[in-house]
This record gives sequence, C-alpha cells and structure tokens, in this order.
Amino acid sequence: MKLYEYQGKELFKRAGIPVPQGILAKDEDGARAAVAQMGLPVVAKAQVLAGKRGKAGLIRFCHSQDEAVECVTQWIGRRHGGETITSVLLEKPLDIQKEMYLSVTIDPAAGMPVLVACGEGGMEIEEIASQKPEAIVRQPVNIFRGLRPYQIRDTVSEMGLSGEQARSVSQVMASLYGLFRSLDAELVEINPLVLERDGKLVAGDAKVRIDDNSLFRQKEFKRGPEQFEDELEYEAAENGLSYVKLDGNIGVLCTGAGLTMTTLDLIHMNGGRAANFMEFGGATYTRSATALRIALKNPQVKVLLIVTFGLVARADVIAEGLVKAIQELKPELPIVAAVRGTNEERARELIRSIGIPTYDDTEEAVRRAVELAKE
Amino acid sequence: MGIFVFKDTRVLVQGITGSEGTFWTEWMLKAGTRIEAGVTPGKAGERVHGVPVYGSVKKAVKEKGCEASVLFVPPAFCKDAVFEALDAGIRKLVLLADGVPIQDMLEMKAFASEVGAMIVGPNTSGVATLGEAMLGFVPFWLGHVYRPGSVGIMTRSGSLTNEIASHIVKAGLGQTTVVGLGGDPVPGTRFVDVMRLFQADPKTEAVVLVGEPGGTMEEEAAELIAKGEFTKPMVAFLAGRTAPPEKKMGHAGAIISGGKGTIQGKTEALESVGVKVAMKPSEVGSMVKALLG
Repeated sequence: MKLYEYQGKELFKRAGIPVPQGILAKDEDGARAAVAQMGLPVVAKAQVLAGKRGKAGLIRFCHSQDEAVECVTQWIGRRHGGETITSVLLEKPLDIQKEMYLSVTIDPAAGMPVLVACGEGGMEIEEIASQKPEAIVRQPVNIFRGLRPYQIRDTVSEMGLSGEQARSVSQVMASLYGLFRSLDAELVEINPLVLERDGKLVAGDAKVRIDDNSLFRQKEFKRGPEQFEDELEYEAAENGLSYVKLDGNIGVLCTGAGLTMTTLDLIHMNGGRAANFMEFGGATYTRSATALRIALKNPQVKVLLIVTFGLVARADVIAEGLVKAIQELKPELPIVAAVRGTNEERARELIRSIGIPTYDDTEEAVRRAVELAKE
Repeated sequence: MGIFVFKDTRVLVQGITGSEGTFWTEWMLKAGTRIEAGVTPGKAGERVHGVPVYGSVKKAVKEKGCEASVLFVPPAFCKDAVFEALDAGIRKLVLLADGVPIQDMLEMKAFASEVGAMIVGPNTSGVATLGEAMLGFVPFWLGHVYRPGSVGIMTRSGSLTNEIASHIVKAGLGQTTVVGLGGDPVPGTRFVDVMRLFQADPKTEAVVLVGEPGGTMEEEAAELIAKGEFTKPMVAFLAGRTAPPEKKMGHAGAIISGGKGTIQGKTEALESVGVKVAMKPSEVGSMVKALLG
C-alpha cells in the first residue's frame, strides 16, 4: 500500500531524517490555524497517492492566509485520478540550493534491496534515467550484511558530494535503509532531497510503499478504499479477490491471473471488450458468489463470461458455488461458461442444469460471449 | 528423466499435518512421489497417509535422508521454515504459499544462493515430473491435460498452464517436467535457471515458456538463448497483451510499470532470438509439434 506524503514524512522524522515544518489541514479552520502557527508564506500540497500532482496544479505557493484557505477548501473533495482529496499539507517553503534524489527499493531481477541515488533531483527518476542515466548511482545491498558504510561512502562520492554535505547525505542514506527494512517497504523515496542555502538537508517529499503481504505484521498501517481507483476494486480486495475495472461490456469471472489475462486478450482479439479483470480461486462457494455479485455491480456488463481451469479448486466445487450464486442473484443477462479441471463432467452437468451453455474450449466460449455482447 | 524432482527423490513435506498439507500429500503420493517424511513442530510421532511426522527438519533429514522439501506453510512462517530446511542441508524447495512478505523472500533467496539451493515459488502450483513425482498441486490426474512426454513447461501462472498443457496433449505430445515459478515479483527461481536444467535434460526436446507482463524474466530468457546457452526449440505464450499499465493483474509480479514489462517488449525480445510466440493458447501445441518435426 502507498502512504501519503504526510505519513511518510512522519516516519522520516521518527527515523531522524529532517523534514520541513508542516501541518496537515482538513478544513478552513485547520488551514487558518496552520498559517497562524507557521507564518507566511506556506506551500500547499494536496495529499494524494497518485503522482503528477504538480502538473495537476495541486501544489501551490501561498502568500496569504486566504490563499492557503482557498487551496484547502477548493481541493478537498476534488477528484484526482481515481481518488478524492481529503487533506492538504501546509509547509514552510524551503530555500533551495540543490536538489538530489534518494531511494531504497527492490531489484526484482537480482532479488536484492538497492539504494538508488542521484546528485540531481526534482524530476521523476524515470526522467532522470532517460535523460542522464550516468548520473544515477545504484548500490545493491546484501540483505544479511545491510547497507555498509563503505557503500555509503562510494555512493556519496559518485554523487559528487564531499565534506559536510557528504556527511549529512550519508546519515540520511543509513536512516532511509533502516526505514526500508523496518517498514517492510517496497519503496522509500526522497525526491527531492533538498540542500538549503544554509547547508541544511531536508526531505522535500516522501514516497513510501509498504508490501501488502507484510501488513499482518506492519500493524500501524491499514489498507483503506483510498488505495484503490474504484470502490469495486476495494470491495473485491477486501474479499480476497483481484478485480480491475475496465471499460467494456463483457463481465469476466476467471480462476488464475494468467488465465484471466489470456481471456481478456482473447476477448480483445475477437473484437469484444471486457468490463473487468476478475480472478477468484480457492475451493470455497462463497468466493464465486462474491465474485459474481461484484462483477454484476458494474452496470456496463451485458454478458457474463466464466472461464476456469481449476488447480486447487475442483471444477465441480466451483460449479456448485456458481450455480448457487446464479440462482440467488438471478442475473438477467446471458452467461457463457467454460469450466474445466477435476470433476469437470459433473461441473458441466451442474451448469447446464440451470440453462447455461458450457464449452470445453476457452476460445470458443470467448467467441460466443463476444457475439452475445454485440447483439 | 525431466528436471528438479524424480521418482527416487526423497521428499519432505513441511506442514504435513495441516489440512492442505494432508490433502495434497495423498495426491503427491498418488503421483508416485517418494515422500519419506513430514514435519510439523510439536507433532512428532504422528502419521499422515502412512508418512511419519517429525518435529524438526534436521531430524527428518537425519532419519530419512530427505533431499527436497515442499512447504505447505502459511506465509508468515515461510522464512523460518525455509531457513530450517536450508540449515538442515535441503537444497531443493518448493514454496507454495501465496502472500509471502517480499523482504522475507529476499532473505530466503540470499540464503539459498549462499548455499547453492533452489527455491521454486512462492505463490506457485509447484513442480511435476510427469509419471515420476509431483510437489504441490499440479493436477496430473487429468489425462487430457498432463501426460508424460518430451515438452518441458515453465510458467508464471497455474490455471493458464493447465490450458496450455491441454493443447500440448491435444497435439499428441506430453510433458517432461512442469515448473511453476509463481506470480510474485521476486520468484526464488527464474526462467533462466529452469532453462539451464531443461538444456541438460536429454528427455526434454522442446520447452514452452508461459509468461506475463511485468519484470524481466522473459527478456533474460531471450538473452540466455542469444548467448548460446540454451539451444532447444522454444515456444512462448504470453498472457496480458491487453493489460492496462500500472495495474496489478492478479499477480503482484504482473504489473507494467513506467512503460517497462510490456508483452510487446517481451515478444520482440523472444522473437529476435528465434522463439516462436503463440498468440492463442490453442496454437501452442501445433507450434511445438512443428518445431519437433
């Protein structure tokens, strides 16, 4: 899950990484109080999980209390991508001498943590990578040995830093790596890491992504609907299902990520458009019922396509669950099914018994669903 | 033959007394797997489908000489269970759990690479050498999907592999070993690792790669071929041609991020080294057949 900038900065502060003075405002009173406390000017930064907020005009320099109030009252409630803005961080502006980039993330190919640093910052790391790849320093870390002092020395030296600057950046690097490990993070990023004119180092922004699989032990964080672009995606995730809303009219219910993606590709190849990605699994009845209920909540859906090839889940168990759910929900739209796997003969009989055509072949089922969607 | 697990491989089941472990132990035995022991801390002395249960891996290895372990262990306990197995000298592991913390996986991978062990998974359906042994839950009993033959399969997705495997059988062929790498961003074993094993296996005449968006495993496979280290005929099927960017498609590893990991890029990389890329699962069988002549 992604954290908001203000949450990341609280964690930075706790870990000894300097952050700008700032107050989170959620309404007009909050904005006024923040300005009264910090003085002017302030920078207003909308708290969103998606990037590109600068380009969307959601970061503004405010010279008066009214300006700050205006940002807070106008932005809160506004949509940015799939999310609704609920808070604005008001901060003391930084006196920027130099901007740098620092992050710790995972190199999936090497299977190791990696410290990524750059003597220039402020733009997205992808932009730096495409414009000045030689400026990026990458330091893979052996997870058992941790980020060693010599690796930090090498990195700051490659960033072109020396003296006091090198010392303070080194400290931030060590703290950032510690934070990455203790948070079970997938990413901790400071961009920009700002060197102020008086020589102080401050984290200008904070991007933190916690590994969803570790939330059982990272109890400080709880995944809420704001992490999802669509409320159906959140509802699905809460039920252990993977759902991604798409813009077509063929509702898809599948087992397995790969088979689901393949089904979507085949729909596209046959000239149809899928309404969603939906993967359900496990040998439980309730899941297929929940999956069906969520898929049907999208009003775009004209045809329902069910494709399964069970591994753990037996085909007949899946079929029983589906039949029960269909009888309960009584969807008034055509359904096409290809249910295969262990005990598939019985699965087929069950599904046919409620008048739904079944196919042995995924591609045939897809073609039929696309035809029905066009009628 | 085949790769990784054979009929004479002495296998340990970690977490054998749990409901999943017990259920699948029966199927693994039916597949011919030589399961020598199970381990569940605190359950020493019990038996599961006739398999003796030990309280520690060390004990099981000492008494029964287990060489490979399949783990039916919940995600939170996988790291400890894998460390225990590696410390006891086991060098082949199949980690089935879905939901393993990624940093735990980094530690497991680092440990495995220090001692020269191979971890298949996590988030996988396992490994099956048809007619010999199965570790996990590959449905080998479906005769129209799996049967012993000459085609190796390595895959990032379970259900889709059944679909692909059924078309291989439809074309009159069968499989040597099916290896599920799993859907996580940091799999213990990558396509290139499996390709080296298939290259050395005389019985595997062709290999089918089943890929997904995200990561660089397909590109690495192409590089291995370009270097001349893998020379057998290969057919690839890549799911997710129409997957939207920046969205996790079911698997945490299946995400196109910052324009990287697209199926288009993977297709180009594989085709540039002579791999035949099928557009539909039904094409895979005939394409493999054509390559084998």
